[in-house]
Amino acid sequence: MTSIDLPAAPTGPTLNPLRWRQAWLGMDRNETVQRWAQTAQGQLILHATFAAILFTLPLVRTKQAALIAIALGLCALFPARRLMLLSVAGATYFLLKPFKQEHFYHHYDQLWSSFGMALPGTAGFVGFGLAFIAFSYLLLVNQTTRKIEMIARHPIWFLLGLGTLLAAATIMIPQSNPAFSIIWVFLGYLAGSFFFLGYILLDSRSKSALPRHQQLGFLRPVWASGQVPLKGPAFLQKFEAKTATDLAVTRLKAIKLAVWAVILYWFCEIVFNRVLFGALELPRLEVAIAAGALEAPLTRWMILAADFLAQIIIFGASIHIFVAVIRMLGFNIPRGMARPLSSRTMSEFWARYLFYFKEILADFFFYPTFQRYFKKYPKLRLAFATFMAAFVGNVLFDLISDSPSFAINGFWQTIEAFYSYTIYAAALTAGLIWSQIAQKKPDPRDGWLRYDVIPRVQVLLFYGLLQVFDDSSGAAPVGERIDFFFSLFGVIL
Amino acid sequence: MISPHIDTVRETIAGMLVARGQDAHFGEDESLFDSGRLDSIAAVDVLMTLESQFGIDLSDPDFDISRIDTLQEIDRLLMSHAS
Repeated sequence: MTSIDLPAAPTGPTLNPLRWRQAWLGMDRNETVQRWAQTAQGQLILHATFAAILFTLPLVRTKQAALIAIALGLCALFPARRLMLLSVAGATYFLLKPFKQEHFYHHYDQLWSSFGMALPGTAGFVGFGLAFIAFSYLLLVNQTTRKIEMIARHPIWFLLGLGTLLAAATIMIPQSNPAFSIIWVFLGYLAGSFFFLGYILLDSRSKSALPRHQQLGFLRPVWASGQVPLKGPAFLQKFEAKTATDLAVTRLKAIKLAVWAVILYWFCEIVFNRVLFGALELPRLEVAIAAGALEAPLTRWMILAADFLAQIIIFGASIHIFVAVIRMLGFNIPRGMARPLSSRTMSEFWARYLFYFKEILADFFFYPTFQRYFKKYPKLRLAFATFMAAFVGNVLFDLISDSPSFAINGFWQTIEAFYSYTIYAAALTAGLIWSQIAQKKPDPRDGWLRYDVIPRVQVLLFYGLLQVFDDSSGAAPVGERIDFFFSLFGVIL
Repeated sequence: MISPHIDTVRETIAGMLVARGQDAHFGEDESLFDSGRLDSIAAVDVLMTLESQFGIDLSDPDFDISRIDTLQEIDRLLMSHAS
């Protein structure tokens, strides 16, 4: 289950905080609250509360929060045109904020100023963005007309090949050449919207696909702050509230999730950032790795555990607030993270911790491989599909996002930054394959220790240790990460 | 209306839900995989059931995994394959 909803609390006033909690968690099932949430006053208060959370939670940028607030207001006023409004808002967001990484904007500014244009760089974004939307439209049309059959059958491989060619061109063409600028900007747009466009192209096979012009508004939906699309518009439609009661329930769930995000954020900020990493001066994992594992072994384990938990909590807060946005807009989609620490197997943790990222890897790499290869060998078939998703897809995901960096940082420096992530992906793949093929499924009859404790400790230990290598920024060299990893076990290299 | 031959798939899915500590009952139009109720390993088991028991060819590049998200959709897939 992906919900933490509990049965509605008994009615009547009480001072018992546990009863308040129960009432809060069960409010979307409470018919009185549902009816109130459908009134004009209820809708106004819910939206005002949600907007207040959005603008005060530091995880959401102010400009993005403003765009989301506008989209929420318009969708509340015209719920029947929700998808069209979201498409327009998404297109606006895409035209104004096309890149994923901040340092790409600095490089873009340099390129734009080299053109000697009097217009601001934002005008260039609109021009380049419209050109990219036109390119995406042609791909969408081809999915239906199948004029270029090869691209229609393998749209993701086509995008991958195109990205590779563009990245190679940015490495080979001198930056003083005007063609470089055009190619680099197009690569930036492709890298920033690769999987968003991928989902739109996959959705075109769906019977419930939106009209093409509306699909193009999902190249960067208003809630897309990170690199992971929360699937495509056809997925949203599946969870769209169909009745006024459904909509009220979905909005109440959105408020609950947003408040949970706030609690997680401030818990992480106070307990980890201000107390553990602040007042108690426990080093962050990256700092400890870069410093060369100077601490006592027990301290190193504490650093690893603290960083692992802090990352889970802050990532939970981030994904929850954006899933809450989608729910507030009227789509009751599943949570992006649901009790990861309760996982008893590695594959279960992967699905609970990174639900939508796992979905990307499954949709684009796992299922297509599973459908086609080693059909007569079930275990090999599952292992190879898992390898394609957890290793190839996982590394490609980051490499695609970072592909404009080849021209900025140089080819080898960009590749070197991925050494550590490659180790991470390889270990993760091995763990997932073992989990799926060889791990004995924990059984309640095994007893409390062997069912509730040992499997969970194994899972947390595995993913905690993986944290050492979970980096594609190149902030610390891979050698220092290997040293730190072995130092945890008392081995000094 | 769900056809009788879907019972095998229904039983397979019910077994998966029970194995994951969930209620075995589910609606014919209830999302199973997109909703996160069942994971991708369960989807793999359903795919293999469709292949082995109904002869569905999953290697068609246009096959879309979202077409097996509900029992109704699986039934439609089986019916279209049978026709």
